[in-house]
Amino acid sequence: MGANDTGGVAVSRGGMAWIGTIKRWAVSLVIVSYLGSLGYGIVCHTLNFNTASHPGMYFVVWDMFCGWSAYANRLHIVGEGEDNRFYQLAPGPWTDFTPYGDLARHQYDPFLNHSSRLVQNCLEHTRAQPMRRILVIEEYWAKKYNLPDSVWAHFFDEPRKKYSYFQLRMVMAPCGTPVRRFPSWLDRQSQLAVSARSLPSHPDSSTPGLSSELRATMRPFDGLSPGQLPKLKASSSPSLFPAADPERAPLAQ
Amino acid sequence: MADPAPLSNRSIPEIVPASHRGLRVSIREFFFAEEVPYGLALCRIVLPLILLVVVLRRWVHAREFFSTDGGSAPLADNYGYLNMLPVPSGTMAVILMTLLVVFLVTTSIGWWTRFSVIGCLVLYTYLNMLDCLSTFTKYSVIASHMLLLLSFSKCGAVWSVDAWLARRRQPAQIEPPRFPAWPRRLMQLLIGLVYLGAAITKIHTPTFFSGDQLRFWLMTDVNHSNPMGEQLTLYPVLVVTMAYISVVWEMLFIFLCWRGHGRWIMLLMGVGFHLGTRQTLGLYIFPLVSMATYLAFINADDVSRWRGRLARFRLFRRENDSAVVLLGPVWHRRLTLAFPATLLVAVVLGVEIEHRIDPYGIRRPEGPHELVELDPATVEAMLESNPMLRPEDLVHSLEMGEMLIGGYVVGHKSTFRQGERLFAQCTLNPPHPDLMIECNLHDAENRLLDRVHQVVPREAFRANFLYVLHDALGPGEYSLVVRCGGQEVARRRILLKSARDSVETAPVAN
Repeated sequence: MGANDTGGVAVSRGGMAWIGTIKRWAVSLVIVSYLGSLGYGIVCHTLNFNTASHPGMYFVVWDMFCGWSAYANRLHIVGEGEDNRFYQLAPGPWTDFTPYGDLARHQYDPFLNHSSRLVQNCLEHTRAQPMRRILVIEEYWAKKYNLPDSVWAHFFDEPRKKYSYFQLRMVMAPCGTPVRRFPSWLDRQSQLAVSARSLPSHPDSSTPGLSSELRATMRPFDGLSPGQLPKLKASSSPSLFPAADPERAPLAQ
Repeated sequence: MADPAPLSNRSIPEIVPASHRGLRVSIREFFFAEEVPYGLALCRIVLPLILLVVVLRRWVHAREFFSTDGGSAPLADNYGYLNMLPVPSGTMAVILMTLLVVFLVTTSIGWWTRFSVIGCLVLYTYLNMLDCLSTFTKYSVIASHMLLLLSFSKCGAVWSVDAWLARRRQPAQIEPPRFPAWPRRLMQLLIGLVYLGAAITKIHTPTFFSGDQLRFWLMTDVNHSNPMGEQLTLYPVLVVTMAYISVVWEMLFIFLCWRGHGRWIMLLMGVGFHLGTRQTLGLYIFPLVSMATYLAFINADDVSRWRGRLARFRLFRRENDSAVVLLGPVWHRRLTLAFPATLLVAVVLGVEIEHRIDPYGIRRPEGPHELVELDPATVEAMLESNPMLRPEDLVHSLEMGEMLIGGYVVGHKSTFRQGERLFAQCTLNPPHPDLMIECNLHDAENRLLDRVHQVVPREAFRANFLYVLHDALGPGEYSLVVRCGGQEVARRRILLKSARDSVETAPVAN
């Protein structure tokens, strides 16, 4: 009886030790995996390798300071209604939510990856007029105009005269589908700064020399219900807006 | 919820030999030494409260941000992984957001701690990844890491409802439970590696150490207001100094944060750094989340010491073990059922309240909202193409001072005496082409007295000009005029006073 008891306790202790060993190995595996993933992120970040290969990399790459430009920018998402009026499509009229400061949510989409969905959501939840086209226009101004008067007075004697630069970034169909994208104003300025030859002009409805290709697609969506493909040879219109053509936006940034 | 006196984080005798500790033993002791998880308990209490501030603000917008009935913005789309995560329906998003709120509360108070922490981890990370525009940021990532590590830990073993209930189930257990330290160690390593990565980012960033990028960051208003940051742009030498200190601190943190004076110096510098980002950059949540990880550096010795100090002021009284009232089995069963009942009630209430709030205003008597109409003149102004930069927008500032330090003008002033040197610095906004910048001296009648020009290549941010204001210039008013592209872009008035002492003859400009 006593021998049996001793054996039972020994077996029990052995079993517990075995479980403890397994547990220790499992924990060690967790530690190694976790530190390995963090280390992989550090190495990739240091060598600038694979940092954007997968959404998971956002969890292990610590690029909190990516550099800031000398210009502040804002995005304006504007719809031209069939009634020849212009409407603000972001932020939606139901909200004044600002996530991190004074700026609306759509301002935190510098690559315009989600503007289309925001527009669709706005159109779905409002009494919106049918749209002819939707434009994303960016506005830039020098950050020096953000400075308070006390700081401005240290730099300049003249009063500040804020001046904004606008540039079309994206054209969307009435249903919100992106049909054309353009580089940002800042990228274009960087190219202009180093370009030996003059760059092709940016689409501008007021430019007399607007290319025939763009002029031909000025109003490609007139008379079409959402989802229909436009005709390429539609006639021009006196719209203020620059061209929209059915070229799909590139997926990659 | 008071616990008995804390125990030090002593290593276990059978794990650590008395002498000749090798690397393997040291690592084992580092990760597996048993301790009372006070530090992690503090993280468990504080982190959910911080996240509640974020989550509660977004709860009413759950349908808009996280559902197919809104404008969700999945992070994976930015990486080309379309539809990687399923986007829930509007009602389901409200349910998940409500559950997240409840889990954050129950995590903080330590009720069903392990279950609550795992719930927080899954829901918080999932919902965040559905909205990279207004919810998901790097502080969300750090918070997700912390929740992951807390879910591995026994952070509910002390200072929690669970611990309180456990003591009412087994009052004889006087000493608080002890567990291996590895979750706390991983959290310490996490924040150390975050700082290391941040330092690498800064090293990669061109012109970070010249202070130029930091100055532009200080005047960025994409976050909350930061008036102190804007004032700090007047002191670029201080900004550059802080840039160096921050990078050195970020790199040293992981090596010095473990014990002794190094621990307190690193942590206090970190607190100063994060509070500084609050004041100068307008960051609110990021500093709080980052500082919450510092709680993982608090060990049982610290708690014991602080308890001793508080006891002197009679601010802290230990619970009398004999006064512990046992809860009957009926109450334990009721409390066991109370948790799922709380979740159920919260979900039902959440869905109902959100329905009544009607975030889109669709069920209003007057119907859905109308779109905001824009002024045609405003739109027309937006559509006017202005591809060329104005010369005055190429110039960020024109500063005058008495000396250069670190490439920056210091001793700002506009009143000089004969014989003094005037350093003028024209800072440019990148990107800019190769420029010819003139910095000319004009008299009170705007007559050109001296013309100095300088070629500023596209990669340069600043053009410096030195004037020696010798006695050929009579006392009076003058102006420095900066011209760019043949156009005046900036002008600063100077008041020149007579010299107190004789000065040597010097060229007017060089």
